[in-house]
Amino acid sequence: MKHPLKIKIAVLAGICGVMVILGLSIGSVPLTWSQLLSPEYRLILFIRLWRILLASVTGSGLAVAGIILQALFKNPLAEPYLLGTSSGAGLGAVIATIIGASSACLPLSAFLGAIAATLCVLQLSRIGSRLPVQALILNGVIISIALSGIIIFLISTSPNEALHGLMWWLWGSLQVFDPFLLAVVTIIVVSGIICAYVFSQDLNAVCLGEENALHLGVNTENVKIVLLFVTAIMTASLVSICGIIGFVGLIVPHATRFWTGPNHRILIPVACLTASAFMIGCDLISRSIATPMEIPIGIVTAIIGAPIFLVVFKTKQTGKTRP
Amino acid sequence: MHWKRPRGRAIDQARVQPDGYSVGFFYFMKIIRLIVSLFFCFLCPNSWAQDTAVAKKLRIISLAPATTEILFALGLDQNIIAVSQFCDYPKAALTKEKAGTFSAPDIERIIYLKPDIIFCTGLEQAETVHKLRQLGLNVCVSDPKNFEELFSSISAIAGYTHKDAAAQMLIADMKKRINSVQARAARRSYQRKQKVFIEIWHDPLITPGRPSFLDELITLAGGENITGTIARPYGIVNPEFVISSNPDCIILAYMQPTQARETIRKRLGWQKISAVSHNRIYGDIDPNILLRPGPRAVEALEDIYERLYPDETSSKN
Repeated sequence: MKHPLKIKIAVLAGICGVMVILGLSIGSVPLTWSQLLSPEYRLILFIRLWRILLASVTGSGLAVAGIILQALFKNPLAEPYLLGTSSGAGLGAVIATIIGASSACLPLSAFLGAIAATLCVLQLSRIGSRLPVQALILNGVIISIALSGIIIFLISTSPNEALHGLMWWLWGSLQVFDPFLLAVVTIIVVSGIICAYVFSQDLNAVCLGEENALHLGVNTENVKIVLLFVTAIMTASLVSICGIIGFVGLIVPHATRFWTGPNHRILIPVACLTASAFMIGCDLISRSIATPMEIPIGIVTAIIGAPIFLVVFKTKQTGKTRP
Repeated sequence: MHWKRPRGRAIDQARVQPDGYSVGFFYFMKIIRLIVSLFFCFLCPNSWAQDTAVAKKLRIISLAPATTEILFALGLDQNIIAVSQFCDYPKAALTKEKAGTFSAPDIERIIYLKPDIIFCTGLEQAETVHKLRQLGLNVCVSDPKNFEELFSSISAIAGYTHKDAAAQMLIADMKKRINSVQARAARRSYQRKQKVFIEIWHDPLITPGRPSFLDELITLAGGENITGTIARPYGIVNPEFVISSNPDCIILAYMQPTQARETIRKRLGWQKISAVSHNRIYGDIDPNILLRPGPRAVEALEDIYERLYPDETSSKN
């Protein structure tokens, strides 16, 4: 290693801090810091703080979910929405809207839909007490496609005009105005990350192959069930509050792995830091590039993230060939 | 903070009550009373704010073009501090500060402007209304589907803004103009009712159904909306249905300018429609007047009447 790990982490924490300060000071209304801290505009300060918190929680949660799934499935394409969470959440929200539930019920129905879809995938893949990885991936893809089909069918046939607004909701936004919902999701995601950290040594063992993990004394099936459950709950709660945000859960784990190596004890906390900085930055761009309108955050993560990480990968590759 | 409920105090008071009722029943009544009073608080959100609102200048934000028109018609020009980007009538609305678009308002700016009341509309803005209310802002929703509801929402808006006299005058004037059109239409009862098809979009073919404002406008103007059997405000209709209904008149209400008027003639089978063969396709009514449930709805009514019975207006000139 050229740089010691501590310096890298310090740099990341510094970037994260700068992002937080930028996020607080930039908004559609130009306010100075003294104005922002005065009680008159406290609500605006809170709204910006909530957004930053949600960006950080979303980024960390998705990145950790991605790390878990990539390790369990030993598949570099694994991402948090692989188990049907996104389309399940979408279907839950669409059905709630058709029934005529108020906007306040949307997060809960999306959460229930996501959990139901994931349980469905897990149940379909189960053979006895085993959960074969291949079956999980295939069933996840099949359920996702089937549920998306049902969503489009319902939207195109239902007379409910409110459904058109729902598509926008599904596209993802970090706007949050309900501190209670934010608190609940934060608690769920933080406990999920802690849980993943507790299991980080087991994840390291699983990465060596299930047989090797068994020889090392790790009960792989138990680890799989617990961690899949944790991922499902984390992803479902995130989808229910901010819609589907792609890219972060797929690429941040890889990029962090290039930086720190594959040890999950380091990978998980550093990925949280990276994802937080990345998401806060992307959110900043999404709300300031075309004020007063907002660009869906998923689009920003893809457009901004892709080139950054392509560069990271390329330098890593060329670094490897040149000893 | 607004989400804290004063529940603890109610329980304490219940405990010190003398006997008579059982404690449980008293408790129950107390909670019921609390819920009812909370409910009324939500029903009339600014009843308690009225004294202060009269004293200082009321600050209003309108996020829907139709409510902006109503507010201007009530003479609240000085009180409107911001409007949505789509609010373009009257001209003075263009000079107001912009508080984001119709479906995605700029929440931060709205808070910054410290409005006393925000006027929104239903359906697509439901999510916005929910968000604004979560932030403790005073939001008033008006989503009229016909003239009667329009009058009551004008009265409601006037109630919030203390412009009752102006609202009565506005409503009386609108009613007078509606009655005049109705009377002129009634004189034509010897004629067969004009069959009208309204096209809001061409691909897919979208048209207003019975619960829409446009349907009422057509009916009041003495016409018959051929898609008045559709039970939702807007629906997709099969072109074959339009051909077989053979409307006497086609009115275009496109929100974006298009070449539809020319292309209608080229559509397969549409040449046989009476409206097309008699060259009665009208795309000259301002769609904003047709589609906004505001004070200009009467203008739309008069415009439609003139299109339905062009012989009367031409003989007058």
